Order: sequence, then C-alpha cells, then structure tokens
Amino acid sequence: MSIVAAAPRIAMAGNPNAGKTLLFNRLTGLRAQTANYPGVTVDVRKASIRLGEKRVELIDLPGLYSLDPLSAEEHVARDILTGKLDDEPNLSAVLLVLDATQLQRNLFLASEILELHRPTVVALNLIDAARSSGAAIDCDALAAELKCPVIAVSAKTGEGMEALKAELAKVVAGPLDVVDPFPCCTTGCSGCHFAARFDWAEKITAATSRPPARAGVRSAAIDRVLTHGVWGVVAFVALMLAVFYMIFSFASLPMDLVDGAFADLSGWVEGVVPAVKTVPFLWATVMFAVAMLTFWIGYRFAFVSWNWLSSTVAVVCSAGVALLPADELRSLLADGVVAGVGGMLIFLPQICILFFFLSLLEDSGYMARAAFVMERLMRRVGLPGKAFVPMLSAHACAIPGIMSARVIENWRDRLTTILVLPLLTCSARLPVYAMIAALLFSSSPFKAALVFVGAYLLGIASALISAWLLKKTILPGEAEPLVIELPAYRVPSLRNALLTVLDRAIIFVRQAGTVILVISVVLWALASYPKIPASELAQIEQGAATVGDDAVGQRVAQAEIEYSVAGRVGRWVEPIFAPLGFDWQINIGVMTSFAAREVVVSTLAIVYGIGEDAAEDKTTLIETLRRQKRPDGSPVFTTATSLSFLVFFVLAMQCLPTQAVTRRETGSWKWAILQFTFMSCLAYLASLVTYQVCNLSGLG
Amino acid sequence: MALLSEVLRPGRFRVLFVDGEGPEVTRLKRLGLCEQQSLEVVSTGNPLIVSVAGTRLGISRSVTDQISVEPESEQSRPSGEETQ
Repeated sequence: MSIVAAAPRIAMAGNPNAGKTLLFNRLTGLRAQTANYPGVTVDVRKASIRLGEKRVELIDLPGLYSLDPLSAEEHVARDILTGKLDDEPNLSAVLLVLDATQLQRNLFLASEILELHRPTVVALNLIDAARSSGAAIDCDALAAELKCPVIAVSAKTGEGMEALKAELAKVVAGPLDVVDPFPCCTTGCSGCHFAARFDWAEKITAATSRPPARAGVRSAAIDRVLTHGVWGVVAFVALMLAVFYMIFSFASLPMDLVDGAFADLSGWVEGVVPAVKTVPFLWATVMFAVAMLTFWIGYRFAFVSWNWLSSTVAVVCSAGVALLPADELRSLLADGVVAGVGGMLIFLPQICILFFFLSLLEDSGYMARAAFVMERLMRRVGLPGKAFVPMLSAHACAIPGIMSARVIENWRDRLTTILVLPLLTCSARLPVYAMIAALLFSSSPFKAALVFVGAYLLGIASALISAWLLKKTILPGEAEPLVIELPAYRVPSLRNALLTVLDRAIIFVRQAGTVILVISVVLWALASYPKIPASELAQIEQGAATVGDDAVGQRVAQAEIEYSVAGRVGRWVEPIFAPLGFDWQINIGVMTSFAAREVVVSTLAIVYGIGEDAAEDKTTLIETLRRQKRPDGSPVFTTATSLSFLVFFVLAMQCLPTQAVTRRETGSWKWAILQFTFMSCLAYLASLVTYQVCNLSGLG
Repeated sequence: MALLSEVLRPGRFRVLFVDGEGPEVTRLKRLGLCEQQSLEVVSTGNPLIVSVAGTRLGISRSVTDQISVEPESEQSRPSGEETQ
C-alpha cells in the first residue's frame, strides 16, 4: 500500500478541527492518493513529498480526540500511530497538528501522542487566527515543555511552511539531538487519567500562552441563532434547501452534457467498427490484444492485482471479444461499454457538487450545529442528528447520500442510515413518476402533482419506518447520544473544498465505477443473448415490411428482447408478478431496470413495439401504453396496475451503482445484498397490497 | 451536588464524577467532562451547550444525568473560553 517503498513515513495526527487536512493539502498539493484499509471503510490520504534530500511519505490520519478510539476512523489513526497495523511499516516521525486557538483542548491528545516517544514535530496551526483574537503563545517555552520542536504555522496563509518542512527534514535525516524524554502526565495519578491530562494541559497552557482578549464573542452570538430551538431549525432547513436546489440546478447541465456526449460516442463507435471481418485471423489477434490492454488498464486503475482468478477472467473475456461477430462487437461496445461508462459518469456532477458544499459547511463549523439542531427530530426514529444530511442528499441521488454517511461516527447508526437511504426518491425515479402521472391524470396537472407528492412521501415514510424497524431488529440499540464539539466559526477554504471533490470523485470512479461497468456489460449480454434464429428473424422482417420501414426495426428490436434471457425471465416470473397486476412485458421492464430504474421507460417502449426512440415522445408512449390489452381483452394499465407499478418503483432497489457504493461503504456485499432483498420484498408486498386494495375497492 | 440534567440556569459548575462506563462515558471524558474539571453551562435546552476546556460542546440531555456537578464560585477556578 505504500507509495514509495522504504521511504521514511511521517503521520499527521491532530484533533478533528485542528486544520490538519488543510495543512496536508498545503504540504502536498495535488499529489495525494487515497488508500482504503482492507476490512474497514476508512480512507487515509497519503502523498510522497520531498523534504531536503529525501522523499518522504506523508500520511494524513483521520482526526482523533484521544488514543481511546470510538469510531472506525479513530481506530485506524490510533493503530497507525502505535504501530499496531501489521502490513504497515513503522513510522519515522509524527507531525502533531495543534490548533493554536484551542491549545488547552489540543494538548490533551498531544500528551497521549508524546508519550508514545516517537520523534515528533508540533505544527501550531491557525496561529494567525490566535493572534488576531489577541492571544499570544511562546513557542520556545511550549517546545521546552513538550520536549520537541514547535513551529507556528498557518495552513491558510502559508506562514511557517518552510520552517516546518526544514524541521521535518531534520527529523527524517537523523540522527536526532538527545533530549529529555517527554514525562508521563499521569505518573502518580490514581484517579481518572483524563482529568490528570486536562489538568496538565491547563497548567501548560497557562505557563506558555496569554489568553485572547475577546473570548468567543462572535461564535457565541452566531450560535444563539443557529442552535436556537426554532430559528436553528429554520436556518438549517433554509440552508439545506439552498444546497439541494444548487445540486439540482448546477448538475443538470453537466449531466445533460455527459448524456449527450455518450450518446454521440455510442453512435460514433457504431460507425467506426467495421461491419464485416475482412481478415478474420488478424481481427481476432488485434481484438484480443485490445481487450487484454483494456483489462490491464482497468485492473491498474481499480487496484485489482493479477492473480489466477483475475487473469483467467481477463483471458477468457478477451478471447470471447476476439471471437464475437463484428455486429455483436459493435453492439457490445456501443450499448454495453460506452453506455456503462456513461451511466456511471452521469452521477459525477451531483457527487461533486454535493461534496463541494458539504466540505464548505464542514470547514465553516456549521455541520456540528446542523447535527445539534436535528438531534431531537432524528432520535425519534432511532437515528442521530447527523443522519439528516445524507438523507437530504439522497433525494438528489442515493450515491452521494451513502458516501456522505461517513459523518455518522457510530457504526450501527451509519449502517442503518445507509440501508434505508435508497428508499428516498432520487432524481432517476422522476421519469417513471412522470410516466405514471401522465398515464393516470394527463388532463389534470393538480392530480398529477399529487402523484409526485404521494410518491415522495411514501419514500420518506418508508425510509423512516424502516430505520426504526432496523433499530428494533437486526441493528438493535438506541442512536448514540449527541456529544459534539461546536468549533469556532471560520471562513471555509475553497481550495480544500475542491480537493475534497477531486478525492471523492476519484474514489467513486475507481471503486464503484469499475463494478458498474462490469454489471452494465453483463446486463447488456442478458438483454442481447441468445440471438434470435435467422429464419425467425426473416419472417418477422417480412411481416413488418408490409407496415413500413420504421416498423421493421421496431418489430425486430421487440422480438430480440423477447427472445433474450431478460425476455424469457420476464415470462418465467409472470406468475410471481401477476398478483401485482404486471404482465410479462412490464416484467421485462422491471428486469432491465434493476441496473438503473430510469431504463424502464425505454424498455417499455421497446417491448411494446414502438422502438427506443419513441420513449422520448411522451404522448406516443402514453397512448401506446393505454392501448395495451391483456389476453382477455382488458387494458393492462388500469389505475390499479399503474399505482402498483408506481409503488414498486418508489420502493424497489433498482440501482446497481448504489449497490456497488453500499458495498464499498459497508466493506461487504452482505449489506448490499440485505439492502436489495429487503427493498425488493418491501416493494413487492406494498405493490401487492396496492393492486389488490385498488381492485377490491373498484378502482381497477 | 446535582446532576447536570437538573441544572436549569446557565452558570459555572465543577464535575464531581461521571457515572457509568463504555463508549458514551469515554466520549464525555475525553472531551473534558471528567472529575474535577470546570464547566460553564451556556444554554439549558436539549441538547444543552456547555463550555469546557476552552470549547463549546453540544450534549444530549439523555447523557447529562450521568454527570454529577456542584456549583462553582466565580473566583475559585476560572473556566476556559473559546477564542474566536
């Protein structure tokens, strides 16, 4: 996992609000890589930097309050600092980041880390903020007390960076001057070791610094509003609505661009791949080489190592690609690979915008207040206040919602939140809602709007009830009570926010993106194979030719999907879905939309024989859906079927990218499978009840 | 002596002891809510806000009945305050 083998390693440790990440970014620029420790879902950023003559690996540990860890992040930080992680070589030094404006509190952690007796350099960060508040800290006196060098820095302005680098270079160059070891703060202490350390911190703070002239007046004044029982909630809702609005409005343009660009790329691929193999042997060799190269790049990008399994997969798949007929290869590239990459990248704008704003809010100190004001409301369903932000984000897209659930420290609370997030209405469900609203109430915009509101409320209610049920059953326990630091308000760093966005985007593409791509290709295969025999195809073409040229393509596409594995499964599962009012064609739509729910609209257009392009034309699609009849002559899309279909799409887990992200964030497929099973069962049961109740009450 | 959950008005207090064990109590203690530390109750809502070891903390009412406190006179021991 190390970037430079045998390079000296320096770990940066500090309290969560000490400005550590900003200092890390200042020291490393864009050279950081995010590493994920096996078995835990904690990201640790590392970068290789030059210090004097040596290249050094700098590790930005997750923030921690003490070496008594309470969250997964703190466990990793503690284990790296104490050398407990087996696969990690020992640290050469520790860069301890202290917040100059909160010296007393930060010295608590300092005392624990200094007692590890590793070579340590202290960066006294935020020195500019401390000075402007009227405080003064004697660095030499502090260094004498801590028995290690203390450098006053400001990660924001860059002050002290050169001195800090020079001091770190001295430590890694060694040998170090012999100094007295740091004495244990709890020697002779028979009571609480926390109290002994805080007493020591208070004593050192008093001896080495002058307190600020103005003590927290500004933060206290802002807090009177933002933590107020009523105004705090109003401010929170207003702020979150603004962020949410910006995600929707700013993301739509780049999302359309991605969509358009990949549609063009798909068309270009179809035009560029030759229709016939002129020299079959050469074709197969080149295609095999290209496919192997693609696997090599993919594996490298997603950190997959070449073992017997991954090598066999690569060779077998490449051989398969090399032997594919030319037109099927074209379809694989255009409809499988390009569509898969496009389907993954389309999530990026929302992920980037969300994390940009979350980073600004976190940096400013507001997120702690948001958790504070939402605490009482969220606890009623057994979730902590911090769960509100992921829940709101999930209304844009479940993926950034799940990725932002890391703000929740307690593992059970975080897992519960992740499991219920996909029940909230994301933007991908909107085309389905729009279709059903138009189908049911095309003449009444008010009633159509009610369909939307009802679907949103159903999503929210089911998520909250499910969270409550999970906490009562498989994830028992009350939400961890809130004990949170309310840090002083600061002006957030734009640079930090942009680097966070870059980091999150790379993680998504690397780890979830590759799974999404593989799944897209598998689904393409399920909807394309087996191929319809040539004799049957000729008959279909002949039959449709009498109607018109367009009809030939539409009828062939319809016959092909019916003949494929997806089509056959649609028929096989008909008895299961019949009680929900779904016919076998709707079942095909349900099958294909398990990768991405918005696909159902275009699939229904294909299976009802009007072609994929007709999905864009709402009137044609709605009219076609209304005309569909069951074998007994009754219409397919009755009110009962439409509502049952809507309920199914509100509640079903039909988004494989979300599943890939759940796996990444929970560290195992177990939870992704549980989420899928739970949501599918819930969707089935709720649709069943909807259809049967509607029929019994005469709405059918 | 009183429980922190029984405190109705802002003011300065000294922690006498924190009852119980486990992660909840560790979370309180490592943030400075431990024996003999001074704290200032800033707001008595739920969650309540206290200032301890130079920082403001938001604490759920549900854990405040584990903390026993006694009022502290202004002169006996000045509590830290945040700096911005």
